[in-house]
Amino acid sequence: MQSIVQCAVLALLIAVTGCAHVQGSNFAKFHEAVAEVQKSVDSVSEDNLEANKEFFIESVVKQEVSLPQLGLSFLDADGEDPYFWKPRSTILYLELKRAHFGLLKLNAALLKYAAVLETLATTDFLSHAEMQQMARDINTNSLQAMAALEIDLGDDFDGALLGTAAAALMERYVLTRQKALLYELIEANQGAVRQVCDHVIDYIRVGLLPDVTAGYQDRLESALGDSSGLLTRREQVEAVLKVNEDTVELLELLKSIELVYAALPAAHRDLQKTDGDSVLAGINSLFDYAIRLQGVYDSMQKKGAES
Amino acid sequence: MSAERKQKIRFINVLASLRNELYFERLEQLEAARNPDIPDARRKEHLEWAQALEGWSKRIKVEMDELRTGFLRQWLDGADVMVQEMARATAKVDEVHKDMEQTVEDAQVFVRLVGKLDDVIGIVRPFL
Repeated sequence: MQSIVQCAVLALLIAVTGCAHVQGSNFAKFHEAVAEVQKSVDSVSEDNLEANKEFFIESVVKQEVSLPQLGLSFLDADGEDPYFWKPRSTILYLELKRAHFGLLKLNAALLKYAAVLETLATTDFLSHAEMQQMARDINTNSLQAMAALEIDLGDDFDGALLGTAAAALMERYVLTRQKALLYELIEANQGAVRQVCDHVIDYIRVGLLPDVTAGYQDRLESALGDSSGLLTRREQVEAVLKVNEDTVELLELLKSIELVYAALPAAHRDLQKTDGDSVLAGINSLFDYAIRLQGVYDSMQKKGAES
Repeated sequence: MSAERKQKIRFINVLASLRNELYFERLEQLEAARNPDIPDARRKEHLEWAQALEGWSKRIKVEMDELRTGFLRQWLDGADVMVQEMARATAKVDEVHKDMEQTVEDAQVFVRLVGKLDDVIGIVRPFL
C-alpha cells in the first residue's frame, strides 16, 4: 500500500513537471548494435584462433617449439576450480583460446544486459485501455457506494469520481516511474558498460590486431609457399596482392568493430534522452558504425564463401 | 585505460609492425642476392644479412608472444570480474522490472478495494 501513497504524491509532481515517454526504439537500436558487434568480434576471434593454431602447428613442425611444451596442466594453484586448465608453457595460441572464451562470456553478459534493458524500457506495464477500464471501475464502484450512503453529490458533480484527467495522471505515473528507474539504472551502470567496452578494445588491440599485422608475413609466406621458385612472377604478384586485400579488409573490419565498442558507452548514456532531445548523437553514431560493420562483415563472409 | 596498459599495447603493436618491416627487408636482401650480375662476396653479404634479419624477426616474435601472453592472462582476470559486474547490473534491471510490476499490481489492488467499498457499505448501512 506504500506504493499507492507514493503514487498519489508522484502523480501530483507529474502534473506539474509533465512527462515524456521512454524511447523504446533507442533501446532496441542499442540492443541490436550490441548483438551485431558481438557477432562480428566473436567470429573474427574464432577465425583468428584457427589461423593462429595453423601457424602454431607449422612452428612445431619446424621444431621451433618442442612437443612436451604443447601439453596442458590441470593443476590449479588455488584448488578452487575443478575445470581449471592452462598451457604447460607459454603458448600464445592456447592463451588466445582462453581469452577467446573470456571474450564470449563478456560479450554475452553485455548482450544480456542490453536485452533486459530493452525489455524494461518497452514493457507496457499498464496500457491506456487498462487504465481507462480501471478508472471506469473506480467510478462505478464509488458511485454505487455513495448512493448507498445517500450522499448528495450536488448538481455540479459530473458522475465520475476518477475523471479522465486523473486516469491519465495515473498512467503517466506508471510511465514516469518506469522512466525514472531506467535512467537511474543507466547512470549507475554507465561505468561498467564503459569498462567492458574498453576491455574488449584491449582484446582487439592485443588479441587480434598483432595477428593481422605481424601475422601478415606468415600469410605471405604461406601464400608464396616454399615452392615460390615454382610460381611464375605473375602468380607471385597475384598471391601477394590477394594477401594484401585480405589483410586490409581484416584491418577495416577490426577498426569498424572497435568503433562500435568505442561508441557504445555514449549510446548507453543517450538512452536517457527522449523525443524532446533533438540530438541523439551517441545512438546515431553507434547505429551508423554498426551498419558499416555489418557491411564489411557481410562482404567478407560472402568473399570467404565464394573462395 | 591505465597509462601502463596503453603503453604496453602500443609497444606490442610497434613490435608487430617492426617484425613486418624486417620481413620485407629480408625479402629485399634475398632478391638482391639472386642478381646474377653481382660478385659472390656481395651475394654472400646479402644472404648473411637476410639470415640475421630472420634471426631478429624470430626474437621479436618470441618477445611479442611473451608480452601478449602476459597481457591476455591479466585481461582474462579483468574479464571475469566484469562479467560478474554485468550480471549484477542485469539482475538489478530485472529487480526494477519486478518492482514496476508490483506498482501496477498495487494500483489494481486499489481499484479492487474501491470495489469492495460498496460491499462494506452494504453491510454497515443498516447500522448507520
